[in-house]
Amino acid sequence: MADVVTKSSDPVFTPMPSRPAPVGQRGVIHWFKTRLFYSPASTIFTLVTLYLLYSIAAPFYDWAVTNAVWEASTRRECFDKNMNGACWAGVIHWFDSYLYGRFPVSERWRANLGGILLILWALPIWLPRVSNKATVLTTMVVVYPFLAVFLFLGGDWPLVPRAFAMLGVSFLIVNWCSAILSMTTARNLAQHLGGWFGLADKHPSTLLYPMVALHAVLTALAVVVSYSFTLPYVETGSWGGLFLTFVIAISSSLFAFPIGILLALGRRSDMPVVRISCTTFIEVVRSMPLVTLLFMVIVLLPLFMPAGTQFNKLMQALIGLSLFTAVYLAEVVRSGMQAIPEGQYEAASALGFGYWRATYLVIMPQALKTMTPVLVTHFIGNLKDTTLVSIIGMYDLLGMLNVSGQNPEWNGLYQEPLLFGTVLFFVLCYFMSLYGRHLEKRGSGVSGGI
Amino acid sequence: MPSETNAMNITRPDRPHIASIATDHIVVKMTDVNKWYGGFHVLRDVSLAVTKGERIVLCGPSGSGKTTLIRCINRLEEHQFGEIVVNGARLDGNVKNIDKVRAGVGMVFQGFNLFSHLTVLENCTLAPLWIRKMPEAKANALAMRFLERVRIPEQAHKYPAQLSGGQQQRVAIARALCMDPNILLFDEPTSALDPEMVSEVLDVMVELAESGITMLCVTHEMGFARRVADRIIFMDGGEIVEQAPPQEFFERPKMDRTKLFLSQIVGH
Ligand SMILES: Nc1ncnc2c1ncn2[C@@H]1O[C@H](COP(=O)(O)OP(=O)(O)OP(=O)(O)O)[C@@H](O)[C@H]1O
Ligand SMILES: [Mg+2]
Repeated sequence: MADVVTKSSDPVFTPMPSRPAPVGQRGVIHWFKTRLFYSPASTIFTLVTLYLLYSIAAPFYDWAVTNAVWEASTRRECFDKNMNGACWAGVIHWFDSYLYGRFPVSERWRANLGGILLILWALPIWLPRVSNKATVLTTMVVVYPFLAVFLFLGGDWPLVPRAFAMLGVSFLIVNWCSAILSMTTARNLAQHLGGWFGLADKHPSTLLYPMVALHAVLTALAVVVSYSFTLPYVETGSWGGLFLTFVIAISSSLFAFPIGILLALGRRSDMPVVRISCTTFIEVVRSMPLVTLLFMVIVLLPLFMPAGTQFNKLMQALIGLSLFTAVYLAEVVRSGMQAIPEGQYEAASALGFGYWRATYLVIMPQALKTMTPVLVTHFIGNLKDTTLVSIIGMYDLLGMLNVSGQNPEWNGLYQEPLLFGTVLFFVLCYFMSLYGRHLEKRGSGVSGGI
Repeated sequence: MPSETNAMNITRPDRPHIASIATDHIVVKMTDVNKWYGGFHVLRDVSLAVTKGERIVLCGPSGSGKTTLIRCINRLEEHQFGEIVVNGARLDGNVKNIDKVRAGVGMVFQGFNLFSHLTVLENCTLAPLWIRKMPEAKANALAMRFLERVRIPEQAHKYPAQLSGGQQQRVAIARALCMDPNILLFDEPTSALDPEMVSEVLDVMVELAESGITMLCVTHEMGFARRVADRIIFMDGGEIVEQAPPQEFFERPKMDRTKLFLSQIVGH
């Protein structure tokens, strides 16, 4: 590091300020000269490249901007206005469908609310001094999905599943109270409650009891309230568009996470049966193209289930994608764990920790921290892989982009929607990878958090 | 058994209780322990009895099996033949016994092995909280007491990577002490340290030795051995070659291998 600093013209060790470079060796012109026109060959190469770029960009610009049609109610009308331009009117007409698929217009607020709740749920993870981040993260994986399905699917829910969904409401409220308390008073809700009930001098696990009671009360209240309204049933077949893409990408990532960790542990296990079956599973799934796996889940899964079982394509796609992601995650987790020195296990064992607690308390926290950037990369990949479900007849974003061109009024409208989809995916993935890079830079820091 | 008689014969004027050894004071008893790594015979018929409060220094050339021997005592390594009884619990496949032994045996490693994602204080309280099920306030107080004893209470909220090697090793000692062990194992605790940090760790160890805890210590710090050891055990080729109180060991070694080893150390 220090080498690099001193080699560049940075005046790090010299007290004298560095003199400006001679005129002609700095500035824009200098930059062009040294990088693009530093020799006859480079000059020719630069010019040819510029010409090629221009010959592609100019017609594209004409098509996408100059001749574009922004207002029309059918593709024919677009053509009538300008044959040589993009028909953005179509994309605008279909915009809402690209986002929600055939989700009934009057119910789309539920999809939005679900997304907002997820963001709210996750937010404390990024706040400083929040001491219940682990709970926030675990409940996001274990509890939030029930609430989300309750919202998205609607319909009449029996008491027990309804209680699970409403547990989500309870956790959202409690997690936030706890996060705010721990930011302002350095003690979280469990510790405050424990103090009031005189549990402070007991083992930390007794702090759970008041929390459980609190959740029970809040959940019961939420259940009572939830009976006062009914959300119309929206079958998963009419979920679609970007909404479905998010549902699939996020839930398969969430499901894949615990499966991946278990597979990784299994692959490192001392028990031959566990190790061999995990290794085989990982290798088999890894050597299969995702499309094949998806078709297998659709075609083969019904054969193993009792006859007459109703199959939900979304469920099947989720199973396929989760398994696919899980085996890749398993390899990431395994390499993350391999980076943890043997001494950490030994120190934990010497203190009396068994395998599971050593893994949970000592190994995993360190391994996960080194893995975060790779995990983000995987989740980006997962978001893109999701588009493959359109092949098995689901209308995710890609599926919807293709649907518009099959509509009689918009027949043949393919280029514009696909371009729109490309830009949308690029923006989503680019921001995720920026975030991944940011994490990578912070990765060496000592404090936890994401 | 030679080792036992040896242990019984030790008399030191400054520690008279060592002389009055009865079998029930034996906290570690190894009988004909043998261990192989694949085809390689690391421990050969090792028999050793350690009495309560005894301070033992193990030394010997590299590869002689010292690390393996003390790691067998808390079952970080499994022996294949012979018997090891620690604090009355026999080390065999029984998981309960292993837990019991580890609860009473603390270990300090050459490479510190602190948990890098936890602060110094959290390193010390992790086991009391999760294994002893201690209330948090009590665990913190306990940890602070031992951090004071190893003279680094002010570093409690730093992470291991922010400490010097000597400080890290002292944290490791405090972490082991927090579980209130009656036996402490040290595997070359100072050999990964820069020379100027060796003494700060040795000072802590000398203090510990004076507190009456049973210690088994692999070290090449002969000054330390001379000062605190009740018995020095010399190993070579997986065998206990010779054991004697320090004075006798350094001044009248019996075996040629010991003499050779000592001459190399002194010449070094
Ligand atoms: N896991 C292992 N697998 C195979 N051989 C091993 C293993 N651990 C140690 N050995 C071998 O066993 C022998 C004894 O090792 P041990 O670490 O006990 O020696 P030591 O006396 O502690 O040496 P040192 O002073 O170098 O630490 C060495 O020859 C070593 O190569
Ligand atoms: Mg060794």
